[in-house]
Amino acid sequence: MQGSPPVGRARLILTRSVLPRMAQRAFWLRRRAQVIAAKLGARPTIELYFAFDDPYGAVAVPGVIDLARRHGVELTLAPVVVHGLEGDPDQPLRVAASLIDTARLLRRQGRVLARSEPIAPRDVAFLAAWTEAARVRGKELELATDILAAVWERSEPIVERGALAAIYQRVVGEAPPRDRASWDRIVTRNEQQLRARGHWETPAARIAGEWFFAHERIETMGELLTSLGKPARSAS
Amino acid sequence: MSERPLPQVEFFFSFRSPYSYLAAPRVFDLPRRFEIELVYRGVRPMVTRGVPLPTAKRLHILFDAAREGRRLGMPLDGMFDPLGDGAQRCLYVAERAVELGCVEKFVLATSRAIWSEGQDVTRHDVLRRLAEQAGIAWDVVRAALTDPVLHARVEQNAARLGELGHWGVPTCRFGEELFWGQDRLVDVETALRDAGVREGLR
Repeated sequence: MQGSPPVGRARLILTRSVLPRMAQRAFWLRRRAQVIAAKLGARPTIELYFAFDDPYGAVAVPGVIDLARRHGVELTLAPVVVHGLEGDPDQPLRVAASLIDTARLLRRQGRVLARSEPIAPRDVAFLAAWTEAARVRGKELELATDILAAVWERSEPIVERGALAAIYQRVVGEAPPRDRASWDRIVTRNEQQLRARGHWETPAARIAGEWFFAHERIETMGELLTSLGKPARSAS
Repeated sequence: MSERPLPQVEFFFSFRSPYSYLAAPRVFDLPRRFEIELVYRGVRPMVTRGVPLPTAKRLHILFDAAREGRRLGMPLDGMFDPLGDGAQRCLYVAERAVELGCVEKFVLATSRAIWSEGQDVTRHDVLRRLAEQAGIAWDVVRAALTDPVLHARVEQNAARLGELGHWGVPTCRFGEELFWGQDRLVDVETALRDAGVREGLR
Protein backbone atom coordinates (compact mmCIF):
# COMPACT_ATOMS: atom_id res chain seq x y z
CA MET A 1 0.00 0.00 0.00
CA GLN A 2 3.07 2.23 0.30
CA GLY A 3 3.23 4.77 -2.49
CA SER A 4 -0.49 4.67 -3.37
CA PRO A 5 -1.50 7.49 -5.67
CA PRO A 6 -3.00 10.42 -3.72
CA VAL A 7 -6.56 9.78 -4.97
CA GLY A 8 -6.43 6.13 -4.03
CA ARG A 9 -4.98 7.04 -0.68
CA ALA A 10 -7.69 9.63 -0.04
CA ARG A 11 -10.38 7.10 -0.96
CA LEU A 12 -8.82 4.57 1.38
CA ILE A 13 -8.84 7.01 4.28
CA LEU A 14 -12.42 8.00 3.48
CA THR A 15 -13.83 4.47 3.30
CA ARG A 16 -11.67 2.82 5.96
CA SER A 17 -11.65 5.51 8.60
CA VAL A 18 -13.67 8.67 7.97
CA LEU A 19 -16.99 7.06 6.96
CA PRO A 20 -17.01 4.41 9.72
CA ARG A 21 -16.20 7.10 12.28
CA MET A 22 -18.95 9.32 10.90
CA ALA A 23 -21.41 6.42 11.04
CA GLN A 24 -20.44 5.77 14.62
CA ARG A 25 -20.70 9.44 15.52
CA ALA A 26 -24.15 9.53 13.93
CA PHE A 27 -25.07 6.52 16.03
CA TRP A 28 -24.12 8.25 19.28
CA LEU A 29 -25.76 11.52 18.19
CA ARG A 30 -28.93 9.57 17.44
CA ARG A 31 -28.71 8.02 20.91
CA ARG A 32 -28.38 11.50 22.42
CA ALA A 33 -31.40 12.68 20.42
CA GLN A 34 -33.42 9.71 21.71
CA VAL A 35 -32.46 10.56 25.30
CA ILE A 36 -33.60 14.15 24.75
CA ALA A 37 -36.82 12.92 23.12
CA ALA A 38 -37.44 10.68 26.13
CA LYS A 39 -36.97 13.68 28.45
CA LEU A 40 -39.56 15.49 26.37
CA GLY A 41 -42.00 12.65 26.85
CA ALA A 42 -41.28 10.07 24.14
CA ARG A 43 -41.89 6.55 25.41
CA PRO A 44 -39.43 3.84 24.36
CA THR A 45 -40.85 0.49 23.28
CA ILE A 46 -39.26 -2.85 22.40
CA GLU A 47 -39.81 -4.87 19.23
CA LEU A 48 -38.49 -8.42 19.33
CA TYR A 49 -38.12 -10.44 16.13
CA PHE A 50 -37.62 -14.12 16.86
CA ALA A 51 -38.01 -17.52 15.20
CA PHE A 52 -39.10 -20.85 16.62
CA ASP A 53 -36.36 -22.74 14.77
CA ASP A 54 -33.75 -20.50 16.41
CA PRO A 55 -32.79 -21.89 19.85
CA TYR A 56 -31.64 -18.43 20.94
CA GLY A 57 -35.34 -17.53 21.00
CA ALA A 58 -35.70 -19.69 24.11
CA VAL A 59 -33.25 -17.35 25.84
CA ALA A 60 -34.35 -14.09 24.27
CA VAL A 61 -38.13 -14.20 24.48
CA PRO A 62 -38.50 -14.81 28.25
CA GLY A 63 -35.51 -12.54 28.88
CA VAL A 64 -36.97 -9.61 26.95
CA ILE A 65 -40.45 -10.13 28.40
CA ASP A 66 -38.91 -9.92 31.86
CA LEU A 67 -36.88 -6.86 30.83
CA ALA A 68 -39.98 -5.11 29.48
CA ARG A 69 -41.87 -5.84 32.70
CA ARG A 70 -39.05 -4.64 34.95
CA HIS A 71 -38.63 -1.40 33.00
CA GLY A 72 -42.33 -0.88 32.38
CA VAL A 73 -42.16 -0.63 28.60
CA GLU A 74 -44.38 -2.02 25.90
CA LEU A 75 -43.09 -5.08 24.07
CA THR A 76 -44.17 -6.21 20.60
CA LEU A 77 -43.25 -9.74 19.57
CA ALA A 78 -42.74 -10.32 15.86
CA PRO A 79 -42.37 -14.01 14.94
CA VAL A 80 -40.57 -14.74 11.65
CA VAL A 81 -39.78 -17.87 9.68
CA VAL A 82 -37.21 -16.64 7.16
CA HIS A 83 -34.09 -15.16 8.74
CA GLY A 84 -30.32 -15.05 8.30
CA LEU A 85 -28.07 -14.12 5.41
CA GLU A 86 -28.86 -15.46 1.97
CA GLY A 87 -25.97 -17.48 0.54
CA ASP A 88 -24.06 -17.73 3.79
CA PRO A 89 -21.77 -20.75 3.31
CA ASP A 90 -21.37 -21.06 7.06
CA GLN A 91 -25.09 -21.30 7.86
CA PRO A 92 -25.00 -25.02 8.79
CA LEU A 93 -22.07 -24.33 11.13
CA ARG A 94 -23.92 -21.37 12.64
CA VAL A 95 -26.96 -23.52 13.33
CA ALA A 96 -24.85 -26.21 15.01
CA ALA A 97 -22.95 -23.60 17.04
CA SER A 98 -26.18 -21.90 18.15
CA LEU A 99 -27.34 -25.13 19.79
CA ILE A 100 -24.14 -25.43 21.83
CA ASP A 101 -24.14 -21.74 22.68
CA THR A 102 -27.80 -21.74 23.69
CA ALA A 103 -27.12 -24.67 26.01
CA ARG A 104 -24.43 -22.58 27.71
CA LEU A 105 -26.62 -19.45 27.95
CA LEU A 106 -29.49 -21.46 29.45
CA ARG A 107 -27.07 -23.14 31.85
CA ARG A 108 -26.11 -19.69 33.20
CA GLN A 109 -29.79 -19.39 34.23
CA GLY A 110 -30.00 -22.91 35.64
CA ARG A 111 -31.98 -24.10 32.62
CA VAL A 112 -31.29 -27.02 30.28
CA LEU A 113 -31.49 -27.28 26.49
CA ALA A 114 -33.14 -30.64 25.86
CA ARG A 115 -33.24 -30.64 22.05
CA SER A 116 -29.94 -31.52 20.43
CA GLU A 117 -30.93 -31.41 16.75
CA PRO A 118 -31.66 -28.33 14.66
CA ILE A 119 -35.18 -27.66 13.40
CA ALA A 120 -35.97 -26.72 9.80
CA PRO A 121 -37.65 -23.29 9.72
CA ARG A 122 -40.57 -24.54 7.61
CA ASP A 123 -41.35 -27.28 10.16
CA VAL A 124 -42.20 -24.66 12.76
CA ALA A 125 -43.72 -22.01 10.47
CA PHE A 126 -47.13 -22.88 11.94
CA LEU A 127 -45.94 -21.74 15.37
CA ALA A 128 -45.21 -18.24 14.04
CA ALA A 129 -48.74 -18.16 12.60
CA TRP A 130 -50.18 -19.39 15.91
CA THR A 131 -48.35 -16.62 17.75
CA GLU A 132 -49.90 -14.02 15.49
CA ALA A 133 -53.32 -15.63 16.02
CA ALA A 134 -52.81 -15.54 19.80
CA ARG A 135 -52.15 -11.80 19.59
CA VAL A 136 -55.87 -11.29 18.96
CA ARG A 137 -56.50 -12.57 22.52
CA GLY A 138 -53.49 -10.71 23.92
CA LYS A 139 -51.77 -14.00 24.68
CA GLU A 140 -48.84 -13.95 22.27
CA LEU A 141 -46.13 -13.35 24.89
CA GLU A 142 -47.27 -16.19 27.10
CA LEU A 143 -47.79 -18.52 24.16
CA ALA A 144 -44.38 -17.83 22.61
CA THR A 145 -42.65 -18.35 25.96
CA ASP A 146 -44.42 -21.62 26.68
CA ILE A 147 -44.02 -22.99 23.15
CA LEU A 148 -40.30 -22.12 23.02
CA ALA A 149 -39.80 -23.86 26.37
CA ALA A 150 -41.71 -26.90 25.09
CA VAL A 151 -39.74 -27.07 21.85
CA TRP A 152 -36.25 -26.37 23.17
CA GLU A 153 -36.24 -27.20 26.88
CA ARG A 154 -38.59 -30.21 26.83
CA SER A 155 -38.00 -31.29 23.21
CA GLU A 156 -41.74 -31.83 22.63
CA PRO A 157 -42.53 -33.42 19.26
CA ILE A 158 -43.19 -30.88 16.52
CA VAL A 159 -44.60 -32.88 13.63
CA GLU A 160 -47.46 -34.41 15.67
CA ARG A 161 -48.33 -30.98 17.11
CA GLY A 162 -50.52 -32.50 19.85
CA ALA A 163 -48.55 -31.25 22.84
CA LEU A 164 -48.06 -27.83 21.24
CA ALA A 165 -51.76 -27.55 20.37
CA ALA A 166 -52.55 -28.36 24.00
CA ILE A 167 -50.35 -25.46 25.08
CA TYR A 168 -52.20 -23.18 22.68
CA GLN A 169 -55.54 -24.37 24.06
CA ARG A 170 -54.41 -23.81 27.65
CA VAL A 171 -52.88 -20.36 27.06
CA VAL A 172 -55.29 -18.87 24.53
CA GLY A 173 -58.43 -20.67 25.64
CA GLU A 174 -59.33 -22.04 22.24
CA ALA A 175 -57.98 -24.42 19.60
CA PRO A 176 -55.18 -23.26 17.28
CA PRO A 177 -56.36 -21.72 13.99
CA ARG A 178 -57.06 -24.21 11.20
CA ASP A 179 -56.59 -21.71 8.42
CA ARG A 180 -53.15 -20.13 8.67
CA ALA A 181 -53.12 -18.07 5.50
CA SER A 182 -53.97 -14.69 7.03
CA TRP A 183 -51.55 -15.23 9.93
CA ASP A 184 -48.81 -16.34 7.55
CA ARG A 185 -49.19 -13.04 5.72
CA ILE A 186 -48.56 -11.16 8.95
CA VAL A 187 -45.47 -13.28 9.58
CA THR A 188 -44.21 -12.40 6.09
CA ARG A 189 -44.81 -8.75 6.91
CA ASN A 190 -42.74 -9.17 10.07
CA GLU A 191 -39.90 -10.58 7.98
CA GLN A 192 -40.11 -7.67 5.54
CA GLN A 193 -40.17 -5.22 8.44
CA LEU A 194 -37.09 -6.79 10.04
CA ARG A 195 -35.09 -6.30 6.85
CA ALA A 196 -36.56 -2.90 5.99
CA ARG A 197 -35.57 -1.64 9.44
CA GLY A 198 -32.00 -2.79 8.97
CA HIS A 199 -31.58 -6.25 10.46
CA TRP A 200 -31.33 -9.75 9.09
CA GLU A 201 -31.18 -12.26 11.92
CA THR A 202 -32.96 -13.41 15.05
CA PRO A 203 -33.45 -12.86 17.89
CA ALA A 204 -33.22 -9.14 17.17
CA ALA A 205 -34.60 -6.51 19.52
CA ARG A 206 -35.12 -2.88 18.54
CA ILE A 207 -35.31 -0.07 21.05
CA ALA A 208 -35.43 3.59 19.99
CA GLY A 209 -34.01 2.64 16.59
CA GLU A 210 -31.10 0.59 18.00
CA TRP A 211 -30.70 -3.11 17.31
CA PHE A 212 -29.54 -5.73 19.77
CA PHE A 213 -29.05 -9.48 19.57
CA ALA A 214 -31.48 -10.09 22.37
CA HIS A 215 -30.11 -13.39 23.69
CA GLU A 216 -26.83 -11.73 24.69
CA ARG A 217 -27.56 -8.05 25.23
CA ILE A 218 -30.32 -7.95 27.85
CA GLU A 219 -28.14 -5.95 30.24
CA THR A 220 -27.17 -3.42 27.55
CA MET A 221 -30.81 -3.07 26.56
CA GLY A 222 -31.68 -2.39 30.19
CA GLU A 223 -29.02 0.31 30.35
CA LEU A 224 -30.46 1.96 27.24
CA LEU A 225 -33.97 1.88 28.68
CA THR A 226 -32.66 3.46 31.87
CA SER A 227 -30.96 6.23 29.88
CA LEU A 228 -34.28 6.75 28.08
CA GLY A 229 -36.00 7.46 31.38
CA LYS A 230 -37.24 3.93 32.02
CA PRO A 231 -35.14 2.51 34.88
CA ALA A 232 -35.95 -0.92 36.26
CA ARG A 233 -38.67 -0.84 38.87
CA SER A 234 -37.60 -2.08 42.28
CA ALA A 235 -38.63 -5.66 43.07
CA SER A 236 -40.50 -4.65 46.21
CA MET B 1 10.75 -37.04 34.73
CA SER B 2 8.99 -34.91 32.15
CA GLU B 3 6.50 -32.24 33.23
CA ARG B 4 2.86 -32.71 32.33
CA PRO B 5 1.90 -30.38 29.47
CA LEU B 6 -0.44 -27.58 30.39
CA PRO B 7 -3.98 -27.70 29.02
CA GLN B 8 -4.21 -25.60 25.89
CA VAL B 9 -6.57 -22.79 25.02
CA GLU B 10 -6.40 -21.76 21.37
CA PHE B 11 -7.34 -18.17 20.58
CA PHE B 12 -8.51 -17.42 17.04
CA PHE B 13 -8.14 -13.71 16.41
CA SER B 14 -8.54 -11.27 13.52
CA PHE B 15 -7.09 -7.77 13.40
CA ARG B 16 -10.16 -6.74 11.37
CA SER B 17 -12.61 -7.85 14.06
CA PRO B 18 -13.52 -5.23 16.67
CA TYR B 19 -14.81 -8.04 18.88
CA SER B 20 -11.36 -9.67 18.68
CA TYR B 21 -9.91 -6.39 19.88
CA LEU B 22 -12.37 -6.30 22.77
CA ALA B 23 -11.67 -9.92 23.71
CA ALA B 24 -7.89 -9.88 23.41
CA PRO B 25 -6.87 -8.34 26.77
CA ARG B 26 -9.06 -10.78 28.69
CA VAL B 27 -7.93 -13.78 26.65
CA PHE B 28 -4.24 -12.92 27.00
CA ASP B 29 -4.86 -12.56 30.73
CA LEU B 30 -6.15 -16.15 31.04
CA PRO B 31 -2.69 -17.77 31.48
CA ARG B 32 -2.04 -15.40 34.39
CA ARG B 33 -5.28 -16.55 36.02
CA PHE B 34 -5.33 -20.22 35.06
CA GLU B 35 -2.59 -22.81 34.61
CA ILE B 36 -2.96 -23.07 30.83
CA GLU B 37 -0.96 -22.60 27.68
CA LEU B 38 -2.52 -19.98 25.42
CA VAL B 39 -1.99 -20.57 21.71
CA TYR B 40 -2.55 -17.48 19.56
CA ARG B 41 -3.91 -18.17 16.07
CA GLY B 42 -4.33 -15.13 13.83
CA VAL B 43 -6.70 -15.54 10.90
CA ARG B 44 -7.56 -13.51 7.82
CA PRO B 45 -10.75 -11.36 7.89
CA MET B 46 -13.85 -13.46 7.30
CA VAL B 47 -14.85 -11.55 4.16
CA THR B 48 -11.63 -12.76 2.55
CA ARG B 49 -12.68 -16.28 3.52
CA GLY B 50 -15.96 -16.02 1.55
CA VAL B 51 -18.32 -15.08 4.39
CA PRO B 52 -20.86 -12.45 3.22
CA LEU B 53 -20.91 -9.14 5.07
CA PRO B 54 -23.82 -6.97 3.88
CA THR B 55 -24.18 -3.35 4.96
CA ALA B 56 -26.80 -4.12 7.62
CA LYS B 57 -24.48 -6.57 9.31
CA ARG B 58 -21.44 -4.33 8.94
CA LEU B 59 -23.29 -1.43 10.59
CA HIS B 60 -24.67 -3.65 13.32
CA ILE B 61 -21.16 -4.86 14.17
CA LEU B 62 -19.86 -1.29 14.12
CA PHE B 63 -22.53 -0.01 16.52
CA ASP B 64 -22.75 -3.05 18.78
CA ALA B 65 -18.97 -3.20 19.14
CA ALA B 66 -18.99 0.53 19.95
CA ARG B 67 -21.52 -0.07 22.74
CA GLU B 68 -19.57 -3.04 24.07
CA GLY B 69 -16.33 -1.09 23.83
CA ARG B 70 -17.74 1.65 26.05
CA ARG B 71 -18.97 -0.92 28.56
CA LEU B 72 -15.49 -2.47 28.69
CA GLY B 73 -13.67 0.86 28.88
CA MET B 74 -12.22 0.28 25.40
CA PRO B 75 -14.03 2.89 23.30
CA LEU B 76 -13.80 2.48 19.53
CA ASP B 77 -13.59 6.21 19.03
CA GLY B 78 -11.08 6.06 16.23
CA MET B 79 -10.66 3.25 13.73
CA PHE B 80 -8.92 2.42 10.50
CA ASP B 81 -10.27 -0.71 8.85
CA PRO B 82 -7.20 -2.88 8.09
CA LEU B 83 -8.94 -5.08 5.48
CA GLY B 84 -6.43 -6.36 2.94
CA ASP B 85 -2.76 -5.44 3.23
CA GLY B 86 -3.06 -3.95 6.70
CA ALA B 87 -4.50 -7.08 8.29
CA GLN B 88 -2.11 -9.35 6.38
CA ARG B 89 0.95 -7.41 7.49
CA CYS B 90 -0.16 -7.51 11.10
CA LEU B 91 -0.85 -11.24 10.90
CA TYR B 92 2.66 -11.98 9.59
CA VAL B 93 4.35 -9.83 12.19
CA ALA B 94 2.20 -11.41 14.92
CA GLU B 95 3.39 -14.86 13.82
CA ARG B 96 6.98 -13.68 14.21
CA ALA B 97 6.02 -12.15 17.57
CA VAL B 98 4.84 -15.58 18.72
CA GLU B 99 8.37 -16.90 18.12
CA LEU B 100 9.88 -13.91 19.92
CA GLY B 101 7.55 -14.23 22.91
CA CYS B 102 5.94 -10.83 22.46
CA VAL B 103 2.71 -11.68 20.66
CA GLU B 104 0.54 -10.33 23.47
CA LYS B 105 2.25 -6.93 23.42
CA PHE B 106 2.11 -6.69 19.64
CA VAL B 107 -1.49 -7.84 19.25
CA LEU B 108 -2.84 -5.63 22.04
CA ALA B 109 -0.96 -2.53 20.89
CA THR B 110 -1.77 -3.05 17.22
CA SER B 111 -5.45 -3.84 17.66
CA ARG B 112 -5.78 -0.80 19.92
CA ALA B 113 -4.06 1.30 17.25
CA ILE B 114 -6.49 0.01 14.62
CA TRP B 115 -9.71 0.29 16.63
CA SER B 116 -9.17 3.08 19.13
CA GLU B 117 -6.52 5.28 17.60
CA GLY B 118 -7.34 5.17 13.88
CA GLN B 119 -3.84 4.11 12.86
CA ASP B 120 -3.32 2.92 9.31
CA VAL B 121 -1.24 -0.24 9.65
CA THR B 122 -0.55 -0.34 5.90
CA ARG B 123 1.95 2.43 6.60
CA HIS B 124 5.51 1.35 7.32
CA ASP B 125 6.04 4.07 9.94
CA VAL B 126 2.94 3.00 11.88
CA LEU B 127 3.77 -0.71 11.78
CA ARG B 128 7.37 0.01 12.69
CA ARG B 129 6.39 2.01 15.77
CA LEU B 130 3.94 -0.66 16.94
CA ALA B 131 6.42 -3.48 16.36
CA GLU B 132 9.25 -1.66 18.07
CA GLN B 133 7.02 -0.91 21.05
CA ALA B 134 6.50 -4.67 21.34
CA GLY B 135 10.24 -5.25 21.10
CA ILE B 136 10.46 -6.34 17.44
CA ALA B 137 13.18 -4.67 15.39
CA TRP B 138 12.21 -3.16 12.04
CA ASP B 139 14.50 -5.45 10.02
CA VAL B 140 12.79 -8.43 11.66
CA VAL B 141 9.41 -6.98 10.67
CA ARG B 142 10.51 -6.44 7.08
CA ALA B 143 11.72 -10.00 6.83
CA ALA B 144 8.48 -11.30 8.35
CA LEU B 145 6.36 -9.51 5.74
CA THR B 146 7.86 -11.61 2.96
CA ASP B 147 8.51 -14.85 4.86
CA PRO B 148 6.56 -17.67 3.16
CA VAL B 149 6.72 -19.77 6.32
CA LEU B 150 4.76 -17.12 8.24
CA HIS B 151 2.32 -16.69 5.36
CA ALA B 152 1.68 -20.44 5.39
CA ARG B 153 1.17 -20.39 9.14
CA VAL B 154 -1.57 -17.77 8.84
CA GLU B 155 -3.33 -19.95 6.28
CA GLN B 156 -2.92 -22.96 8.57
CA ASN B 157 -4.61 -21.01 11.36
CA ALA B 158 -7.69 -20.43 9.18
CA ALA B 159 -7.63 -24.07 8.11
CA ARG B 160 -7.44 -25.10 11.76
CA LEU B 161 -10.51 -23.00 12.59
CA GLY B 162 -12.34 -24.65 9.70
CA GLU B 163 -11.27 -28.12 10.84
CA LEU B 164 -12.71 -27.35 14.25
CA GLY B 165 -16.01 -26.52 12.56
CA HIS B 166 -16.07 -22.78 13.06
CA TRP B 167 -15.90 -19.69 10.93
CA GLY B 168 -15.90 -16.65 13.19
CA VAL B 169 -13.68 -14.78 15.59
CA PRO B 170 -12.90 -14.26 18.34
CA THR B 171 -13.12 -17.94 19.13
CA CYS B 172 -11.46 -19.88 21.92
CA ARG B 173 -11.03 -23.63 21.93
CA PHE B 174 -10.59 -25.59 25.12
CA GLY B 175 -10.74 -29.37 24.89
CA GLU B 176 -13.50 -30.26 22.47
CA GLU B 177 -15.40 -27.04 23.07
CA LEU B 178 -15.46 -23.83 21.04
CA PHE B 179 -16.46 -20.48 22.48
CA TRP B 180 -17.34 -17.77 19.98
CA GLY B 181 -17.59 -14.14 21.00
CA GLN B 182 -15.98 -11.65 23.34
CA ASP B 183 -18.96 -12.10 25.66
CA ARG B 184 -18.46 -15.87 26.00
CA LEU B 185 -15.17 -15.71 27.90
CA VAL B 186 -17.10 -16.29 31.10
CA ASP B 187 -18.07 -19.68 29.62
CA VAL B 188 -14.40 -20.41 28.84
CA GLU B 189 -13.61 -19.77 32.48
CA THR B 190 -16.47 -22.01 33.57
CA ALA B 191 -15.17 -24.78 31.31
CA LEU B 192 -11.64 -24.38 32.71
CA ARG B 193 -12.96 -24.60 36.27
CA ASP B 194 -15.19 -27.56 35.41
CA ALA B 195 -12.12 -29.33 34.00
CA GLY B 196 -10.26 -28.71 37.26
CA VAL B 197 -7.68 -26.36 35.75
CA ARG B 198 -5.77 -24.68 38.54
CA GLU B 199 -6.38 -20.97 38.93
CA GLY B 200 -5.18 -18.10 41.05
CA LEU B 201 -1.66 -17.97 39.66
CA ARG B 202 -1.45 -14.19 39.70
